[in-house]
Amino acid sequence: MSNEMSEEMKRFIGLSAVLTGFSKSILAPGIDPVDIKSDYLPFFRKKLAEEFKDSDLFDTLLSTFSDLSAKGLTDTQIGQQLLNNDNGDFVTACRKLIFMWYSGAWPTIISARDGQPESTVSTLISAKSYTQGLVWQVMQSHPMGSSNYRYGYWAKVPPELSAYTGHDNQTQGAKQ
Amino acid sequence: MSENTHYDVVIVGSGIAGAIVAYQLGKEGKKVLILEAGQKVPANRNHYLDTFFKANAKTPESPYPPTTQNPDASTSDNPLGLPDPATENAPRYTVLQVQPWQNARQCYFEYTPNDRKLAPDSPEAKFAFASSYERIGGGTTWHWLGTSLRLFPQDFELKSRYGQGVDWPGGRDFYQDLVPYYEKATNEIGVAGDKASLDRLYKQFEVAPDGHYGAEYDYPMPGIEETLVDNEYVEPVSSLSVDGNPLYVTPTPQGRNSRPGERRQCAGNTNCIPICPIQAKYDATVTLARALQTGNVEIRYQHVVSNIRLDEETDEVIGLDYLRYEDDETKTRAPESGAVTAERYVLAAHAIETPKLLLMSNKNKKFPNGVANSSDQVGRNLMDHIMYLAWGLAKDPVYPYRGPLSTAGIESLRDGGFRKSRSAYRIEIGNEGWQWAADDPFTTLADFVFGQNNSQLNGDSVNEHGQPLRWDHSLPAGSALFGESLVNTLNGIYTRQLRLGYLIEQLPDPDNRVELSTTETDHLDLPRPKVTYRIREDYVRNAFVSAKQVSSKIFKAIGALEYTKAPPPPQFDTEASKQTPTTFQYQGQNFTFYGAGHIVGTYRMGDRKEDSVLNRRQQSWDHPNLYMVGSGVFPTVATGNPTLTIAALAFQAADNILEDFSTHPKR
Amino acid sequence: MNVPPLSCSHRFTITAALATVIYLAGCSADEKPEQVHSPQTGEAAASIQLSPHLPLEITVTKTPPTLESLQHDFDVFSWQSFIALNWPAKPDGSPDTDRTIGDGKGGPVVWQQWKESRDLFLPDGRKPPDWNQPNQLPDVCRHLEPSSAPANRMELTQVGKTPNLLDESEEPFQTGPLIDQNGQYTRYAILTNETMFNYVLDNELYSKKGQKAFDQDADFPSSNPKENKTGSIMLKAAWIKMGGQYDPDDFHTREALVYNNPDEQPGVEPACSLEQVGLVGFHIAHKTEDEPQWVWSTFEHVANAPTKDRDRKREAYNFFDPDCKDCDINEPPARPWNPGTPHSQPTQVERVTPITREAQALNKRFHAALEAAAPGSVWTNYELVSTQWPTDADSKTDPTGAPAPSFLANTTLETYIQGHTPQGSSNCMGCHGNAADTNGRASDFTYLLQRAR
Repeated sequence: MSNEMSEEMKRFIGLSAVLTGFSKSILAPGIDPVDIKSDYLPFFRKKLAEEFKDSDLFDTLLSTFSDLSAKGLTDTQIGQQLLNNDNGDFVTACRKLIFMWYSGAWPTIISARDGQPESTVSTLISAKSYTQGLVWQVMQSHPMGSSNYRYGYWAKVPPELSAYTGHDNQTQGAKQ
Repeated sequence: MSENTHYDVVIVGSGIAGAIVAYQLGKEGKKVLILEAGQKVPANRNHYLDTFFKANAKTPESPYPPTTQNPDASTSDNPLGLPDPATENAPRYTVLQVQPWQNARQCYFEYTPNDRKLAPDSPEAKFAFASSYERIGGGTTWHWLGTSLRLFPQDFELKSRYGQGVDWPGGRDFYQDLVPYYEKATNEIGVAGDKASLDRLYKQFEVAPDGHYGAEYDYPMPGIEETLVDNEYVEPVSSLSVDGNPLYVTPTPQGRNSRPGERRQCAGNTNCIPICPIQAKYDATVTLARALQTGNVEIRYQHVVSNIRLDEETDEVIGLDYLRYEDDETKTRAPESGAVTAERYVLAAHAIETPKLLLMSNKNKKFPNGVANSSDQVGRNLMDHIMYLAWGLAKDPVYPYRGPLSTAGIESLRDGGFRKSRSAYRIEIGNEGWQWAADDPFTTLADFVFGQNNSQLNGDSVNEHGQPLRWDHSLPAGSALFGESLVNTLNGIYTRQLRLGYLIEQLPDPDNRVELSTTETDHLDLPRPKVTYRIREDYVRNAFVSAKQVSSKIFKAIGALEYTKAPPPPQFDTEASKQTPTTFQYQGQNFTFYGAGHIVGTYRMGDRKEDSVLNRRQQSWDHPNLYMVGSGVFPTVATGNPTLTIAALAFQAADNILEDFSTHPKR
Repeated sequence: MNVPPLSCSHRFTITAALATVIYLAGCSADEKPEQVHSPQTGEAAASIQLSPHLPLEITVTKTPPTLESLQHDFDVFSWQSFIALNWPAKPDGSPDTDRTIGDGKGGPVVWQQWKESRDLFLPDGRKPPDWNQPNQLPDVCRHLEPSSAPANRMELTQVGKTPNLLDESEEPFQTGPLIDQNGQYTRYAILTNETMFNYVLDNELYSKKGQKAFDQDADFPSSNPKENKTGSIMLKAAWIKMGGQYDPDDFHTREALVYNNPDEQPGVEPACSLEQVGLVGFHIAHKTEDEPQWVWSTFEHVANAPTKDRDRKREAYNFFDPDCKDCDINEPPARPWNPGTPHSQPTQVERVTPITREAQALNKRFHAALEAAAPGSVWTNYELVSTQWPTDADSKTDPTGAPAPSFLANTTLETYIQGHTPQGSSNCMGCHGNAADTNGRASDFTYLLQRAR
């Protein structure tokens, strides 16, 4: 709520920003009337403890991130080091954090079987989390079913990608 | 509260057809009662919207009661937590039930399994019906798309022109009689449309023999702005032709506000289906409110009509029995039974529940096979626009997931000489990216977060033209991304997604039918529908082959890379629960078909009492004071989305009923 | 509103100190502005000076501001606006600075001289009379002997929030009329100030034809504290007829021509009567320089409705019957809707979102000041529900400016769409951001322009 975030929240947002590719100012605006971060942090902590049977994993994630960011690395370097961790649960937790921010839902990986490839199903955290999914921002649109734009916006090119991500270095619509 | 039990007219169902008839009769001073099986129209949309936002599977029915899915009831063989229809007072078929079609604990319809020895391409293969409906105040228009196309005269003469299906009663005359009612329907819905674009189409199909396409009609609102997605097709497709017809894009006339009016101007929430959050899109609650405002129309919710009583001598309907249930959530209290009578009766419960009611009403001596069923046609000829989907990536961003779900289509293939040998179709241009086609944005998201390849963008997938589909060839297959590269990858993909949908005209097949289940019931102990559904005709299957070719042609013309994924072959040689619900094989190719939500044909009109349920006045051949409205009256599914025609026919039926009142005030 | 640069997405243009100076400039020499205290600094002890001068911008009290401190600052702005608007008026409509708010009951207040929507959008799209010219009455009201009516009577023409086809009182959906405890329809009026009225007049936006010629998005003037210019303000007021359950001493009242408008719904017969009516709900929307999404303040009579799931504070309510155990809550009446109906089943209303503790504390402070200025002041019977404001007014991706709070409703004006559901529940800026003129052009957060003929 208040713009004075706890140290824990600051690290959670820092970690989330590195992994999602969205700026901290988008994930946690200084004045944040929606405040989805305050839903996500406790939910994520609870899920890690439940799923990985490791009540320390959440703190390990944050402290690992803090250590890396104290070294003055770039976001990409921090992300690479996080995701190259020897601990498989640690990496999976990071990936699930990305998925949660993008979709507002908690993912479950369904392993390949019966000739079906590996896939993902997910359960929405709340109505609010659905509308706060970054996936709608990364496509330069709005959540399906909740648009703040007005009639005819669809006939025009949307604002540039950086307006949605809060980063200036994005190459909108890049075909690589 | 003491309730009246006698009315001028009783209407079963409060969807667009029932609401229009009620409004027209109420305006003329008739005392009308509507009996609606479902829950009342809520004071606001909050509850429906909340349910939608929270739904893991955002299917067309997901916002509406009774609930379609309950994550807390999830089990390994019921992952989405589908409710048991036996516990529901007013259950309906939902698209989530298509997959477990053979499981009556999850699926409202009863289906019988296929013979395990069936060849994969056998025309006798039975499938799950792919379309759904609602049982709530306002009916299925809560989740309609809004497409408001007229049919063409040729659609009414399929038999006499092309030797297929049947004609509508009177053929082209039927169309001519309907024209003024199309006008009324267009105004009631408040269609936004661009007349000049439609004129071009009407010229191509010689809709008005004298060539005057403009004098008779216009739209109450200007056309809805087209999307950047639509524009991507306009130029390139105009150089193409198919089976002798030119291709061109036509902006779709739509039942949503392009200007502010009684309701808000469309804000492009990209959610017409399942629910327009701001009611910029017309739905039948609008007409229902107008009907109730007349002061002559009354509605009772949670009243399920269970039986139609007939006079043994005159064969006229003399009353309706109903069951009134208390509250869908507390399933404990016993329903209360009651009866109402009227001078005339109208069934408007859509094309599954209407025939079910007629068939359930089998206690009248002279009609042991059900009311209005001397022809044995009740419940038969079940049809849909079966859909072929094709999807791809545009060469440059077109920014889908913005605007109404569809704002334009290719209408120029809806008639032609080819109609002798294959079904006609219209092509709908989707604005929702791969949401329908591939459950995006979440499939692609999971692929690049977890290194999967269900979107075909992150592996070694190749399309049917041999083109590799990996999005970024500089990355290995199965890449799991983060940060900036994730952002750029997802943005590049989502902003290019395209989808085409083909609404293929299914033929009337008397064996595609709704019967009564002899084993399954709902919570009111009423029998559930037993459905048999095939795609037998090569005529229809040929249209899938055509659609597939045309998609590739269109994608090539616009420089898009096609991602359409053919399904694995249908499985019949397996236990019932694993039998394929919606995949057929034809000419060595496998096709998944989708539902358009257009449930049609189960109490059709016709010229002859022997092979139709209704005469061309939508009046029962067997019971002169019984009318039926809705798409069940259609003899064929034709080539346009049905709602505008449903509405026009409802206006026409109301006039017929008023005419009866003026000649025979009391029956 | 001026938000310091907490993050790169927030622009900071005027300092808090400068804003205070601007506020001072708006006051006459012998008046001192209210000493605004932040919620953290001894609020209870703060004294409030009541002023007839409309604030033109928010006074930011904390650096750096927080969501909570800014909400407080906006809420103070709302109260200051309410007081200035309800100041006793001179015959020319200007505040009577010889008097104070609430001194002696009745008599017109400043906003009651403003133009109603029906004076702006005439049936044939013709040019409305100028700001100072009288307006024409509906035929059916003309038989009423003019001398029997006190001066400055107003017409209350809109029944229900939504019934008129071209009516800003329409919520996203035809949500229905509100029936009071006497079984009578609540009446509504929408008004504009002179700036807003003149913008419509000067640009000929009062007719469809004029809007077509204008052919651009509307951009109403905003308040400019530097030049001491008052920008566009629109109001919506809800009134009930006095008598029966309602004691006129408890309300701000006035005489009004209550008109049943046949354009609202089929079946309504034109009728007009002179009635004493009392104010129960009041919206203020003010376009300020830093809030292009406007600032949305809403006030209610304190006895309107109890709060859902909270203990009831009163024995009787304006729109709630404690004795009715099986009344549906917040359920509109059944159709047909007709304000001419002699008696209808009263609506059972509850407030869905509680008024925050902070707003309640502020209400207490202003009530104390009102009571001190004029003992027994009827204005102590009115409370601020909240103020909606843009937290990120310049956002490129959210044209509604990320409003706070996300939802806001007045129980007499958005009775049936209270709640917390995106797009479904009442959200001033979210909904008004979709407003358009008759050509579909953006109408700058007002639904008024679509009423043009």
